Formats: sequence, C-alpha cells, structure tokens
Amino acid sequence: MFALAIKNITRQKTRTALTIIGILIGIAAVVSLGSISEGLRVQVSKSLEQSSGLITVIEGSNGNIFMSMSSSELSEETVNEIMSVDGIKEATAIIYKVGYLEDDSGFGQPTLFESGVKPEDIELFTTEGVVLSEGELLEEGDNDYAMIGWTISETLGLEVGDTITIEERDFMVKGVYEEFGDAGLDSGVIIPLDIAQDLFETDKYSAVIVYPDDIGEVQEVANAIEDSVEGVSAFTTAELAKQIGQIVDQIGFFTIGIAAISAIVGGLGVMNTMIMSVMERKREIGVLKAIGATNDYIIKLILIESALISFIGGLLGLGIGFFASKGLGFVTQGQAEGIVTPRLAIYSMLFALFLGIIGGLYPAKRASKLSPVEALKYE
Amino acid sequence: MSDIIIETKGLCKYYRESQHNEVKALDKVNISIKKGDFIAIIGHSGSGKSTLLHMIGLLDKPTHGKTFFDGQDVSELSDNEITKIRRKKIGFVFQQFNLIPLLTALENVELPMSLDGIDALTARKRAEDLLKKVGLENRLNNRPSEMSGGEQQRVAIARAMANNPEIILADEPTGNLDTKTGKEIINILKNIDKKNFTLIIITHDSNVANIAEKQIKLKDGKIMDDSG
Repeated sequence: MFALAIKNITRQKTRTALTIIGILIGIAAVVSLGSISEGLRVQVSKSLEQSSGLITVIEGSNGNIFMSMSSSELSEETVNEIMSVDGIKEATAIIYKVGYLEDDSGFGQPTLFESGVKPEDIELFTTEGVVLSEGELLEEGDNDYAMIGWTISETLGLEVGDTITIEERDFMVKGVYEEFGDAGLDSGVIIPLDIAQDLFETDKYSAVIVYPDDIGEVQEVANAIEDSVEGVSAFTTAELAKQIGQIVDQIGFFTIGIAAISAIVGGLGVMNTMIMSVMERKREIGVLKAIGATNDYIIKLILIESALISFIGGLLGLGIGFFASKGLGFVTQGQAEGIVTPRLAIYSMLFALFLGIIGGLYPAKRASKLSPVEALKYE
Repeated sequence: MSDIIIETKGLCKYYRESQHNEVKALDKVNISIKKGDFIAIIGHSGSGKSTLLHMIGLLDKPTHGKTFFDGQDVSELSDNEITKIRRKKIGFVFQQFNLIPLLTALENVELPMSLDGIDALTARKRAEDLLKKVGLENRLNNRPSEMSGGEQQRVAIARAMANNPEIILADEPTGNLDTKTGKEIINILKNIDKKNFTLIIITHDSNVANIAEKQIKLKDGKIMDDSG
C-alpha cells in the first residue's frame, strides 16, 4: 500500500511539489517564529534563575513592570522611604533608559540598555554569576568610565580603554562583561548614577533594587514596601518571571498563530490536491474496489498519500525554519536569538502530519464511498 | 453441497431517469449458474447485460430480488463481507482492461494478492507463474502504457486469476481488440485449467457467444432465451 501511495503522489510531480511547498512555507514560518519565542523563554529564565532574592521597586501601580520601568520616576524622598522599610538588607537606586546604538552595519539600530548605577553598588545591580571578561568594575569617582556588555563590545569592537559615546558624552570602557544570555546586560552600558542623572537631566530614579534580609521572605518585604510607600509597585523575581512568561507566551501565541494560519492554508492545499487526485483516479479506485479493496483500504491509501505530502513538506519546512531562525540571529546580531527546541520541532512535525491527515480525510471518505460500478463507468 | 454457484431470484434493477420515468435495466431476472459452466450473456447494447454482470459480480445492489452466491443470500452480507467474496472468489476482466497505469504487469497481478494479505514473496512467485501462463514472461516489468491491448488484456486475465477464484466474469473482453487477438484472449479464458471453474462472458459478438456452452440472451432487461 505504501509503495502504491508513493507512486500515486509522484504521478503529478508539479502539483505534489506545489502542495509540499504550501505546507513547507507554513511549517517554516511556525518553526522560525516559534524559535524566537522559545529563544526568549530560554534567555529570560537564564537571567532570572540566578536572582531569586531580588525585588524591583518602580513608580506607579499599573501592574506591568516592562511598560513602566523606563518611564518610572521615583523621587529622592520616595527612594529614602523605600530604603527605610524593615527587612531590607541592601538596596540601591538606579536609572534605566532604552537607547539605540549607532552602527554602520546596515541592519538597523540594535537596542542599547543604558543604566545609571552607583559604582559601589554595581554588584547589586548585576545579577549573581556575571563575570568580567576583561577590565575592572567601576569605582567611586569613575565619572568618565563605563562598563559594557558582551554584545556591545562585539558589535562596536570595543575593548577596555576604548571610548563609547552616550548622549554625546564620551566614556572610557573600564570593564567588559562576559556573555551572560540576558539582553539587558549583554546589550547594556553601565555608567555612574549621578552622571546618568546629569546626562538625562533628571533628579529622579527609575527603580530601586532591593535585597531582603531573608530570601524566604521576599514576597513579604515586597508587600511591606507597597503598603508603606505610596504610589510604588514592588516586583519580586517570581512575579517578574511570571509576567515575562506571560508576555513570552502572548508573543509566541500571536506569532505562531499567524504562522499556523499559513500552515492551515497549506493544509487546504493538501485537501484540494487530494480531491483532484481522487477525481482523476475515480476509475482506478473503482477497479481497486472491484478486485477486492475494502473501503478502509481506500481510506488508508488516500490518507497515507496526504500524510506523506505533508510530512515531506513539514520536514523541509523544519529545515528551512531552522536556518531562518539562525539567520534571524545573524541579522539582528544576537538581539533576537531563535532556538529550535526538540519540543518545537516535534510539535511542528505533528502539526504538519495533522494538517495532512485532516486535509486527506474528506477526499479519502469520498473515495471510499464511490460505488465501484459508477467509478468503473467514469472515463 | 449444491453445485450451483450463482442464482438470482426476481432480480430487478431500476434507474430513475427523471421524476416520472423509470428505466428497468433488469426486470425479474431468474438465472442459475452451475459450477464449471461456461456461459455467454448476449444482447444488444442497453439490454441490461452489463447490469446483470454487475449484480452477479456483487458490484452493485438490486432494486428488488435476491442474488445467492454459493448458496448464501448476498443481501444479508455487509459491504466488507461482499468485498471479501469479490476478492477471493470472483475475477473480473473488463473491456477497458482497467489495469493500474502506474504499476508494472507484475505489480498489477500482485495487487489482488496483496489486498488479500498474501506475503510479497509468494505473491511475486504466483504473479510470475500466471504471467508466464498467459505468454507474457518477457513483459513482467512493463507498464500498461508500454503494452498492446492484447497484452494488457492478458495481464488483466492473470490478475483475475491471482487469488484462484471460482468464477471469472468477463465484460466484453474482446470488445477493444482485433479479431485475431480477441480469439487468443477467448482461448486463454477457455483453457483456464481449474476444476469446477465457472466462466461468464458478456458479449455481443456471436462468434464468441457460440464458443460458450450456454447462452443467456437479454432483451430490455428480461431473459429471452436460456439455451442451457
């Protein structure tokens, strides 16, 4: 039966190839877009797992830290209030801006995360596990120095001693961090807090980073901050993880959803092809039934054919999607890295097979219901 | 055990052409065919002979009446049971040959055996033997499009014999062939070497009909003359 199915799908080579391409495009889109959300997920969990005891306090109470962080403005007074809440071991105020890096690569402007941090608190700001690949940490009084992340160093070809310009002010690179997997740090530039305030012409702060005395009580301390200081939101890493997870899920759902629509269109192509094929082979199907093929045999034969088409399309789509996700990493210079996880690969292939089988079901049923006498009369 | 292989009782097949017009393709046909018979069903075009063959071959269901195959009332059987009878006990030879175009002669003959679950090696061996018997040992790997009409019909006969059926139904087997090739095909059919083997040929060619032991003549869906 399998051999006959293979012969049948190679009968109309061009049509089969076009149908395969229909599935291929859909699955390649699912894989490449899906790989981005998988990549995000991996990146996020990597950068969060080592900072479990952290609380980030920002202005406002509208729930989403990512929408509010760069527009958050905490006054000196509020910062002091936050720092005086019980149960806090260490805390530091920071300034955080999202900027763009001028580059002449032609691929647009990679994002730059500009952070102002008190030099003496720099280890509070960077999460545990961050290692310097060269140079030293900022110290008090290092007003004209900056720390840069791995991606920035790679993109601009900067090393310790080189100059980086932020908001028209030059800073000398004092240290470069090793690749960490967190875009905020890898694509980040850290400068002294008071310099950042000057540069951005503000006396406010974006956030306060807080470490509780007892990591087990991180949620209680966050609640205490929100209760005792008016107009602030305190996010724990767990909440952060949850929020990021939700955002990543939404991005994934949206992008994969769009890609899935194109794959479904590919599935309709399979259905169309199989309907045509059944119509053309009406007489043969009649002969098969006359010489003893059961209805189940006919259904299986057509389903194997449609599943084969979609399986080949899925496999090729997986390959192309894989290279597309690698290509995306290259084009965005590592800002968006696509990861084709085994889960994504398996689900995409199952989806392709599912489309093929669903697309084949109706033509298969139709073929099996053909009366042999009617089918034999068909010219 | 009865020696009757096929019996029909009051077999009717009506087709509705329009709301008020019903065509009686078969009208109360009673026939009884014994094992080992060689029968020709003759009649003009539209006489109902093909419809009768479809009924006898269990390809179609009657409007009224019953068909008994080997004593079994076919109307009581499920679709799958009927398919199984067709596969194991009936061989078909059609006017248009009806081979599967993508398959070679060998594969066409193997097909009914593969449908019957016979292992590939045994099926290959038997298909080769059958094709040798019909004189096609040199055409085993040719596709139908590479063969003449006579050769294709010989492949069809070999395919019909694949599962060692009790009966072969041939619907105008010489209809698309020249006289000489037609004679060869009839000779092959006639000389099928099997005990109690039943052969039913539909034809409008009196030369073919005269070779048969019995003739059933149909006119307007009714039996005119049963010379048996």
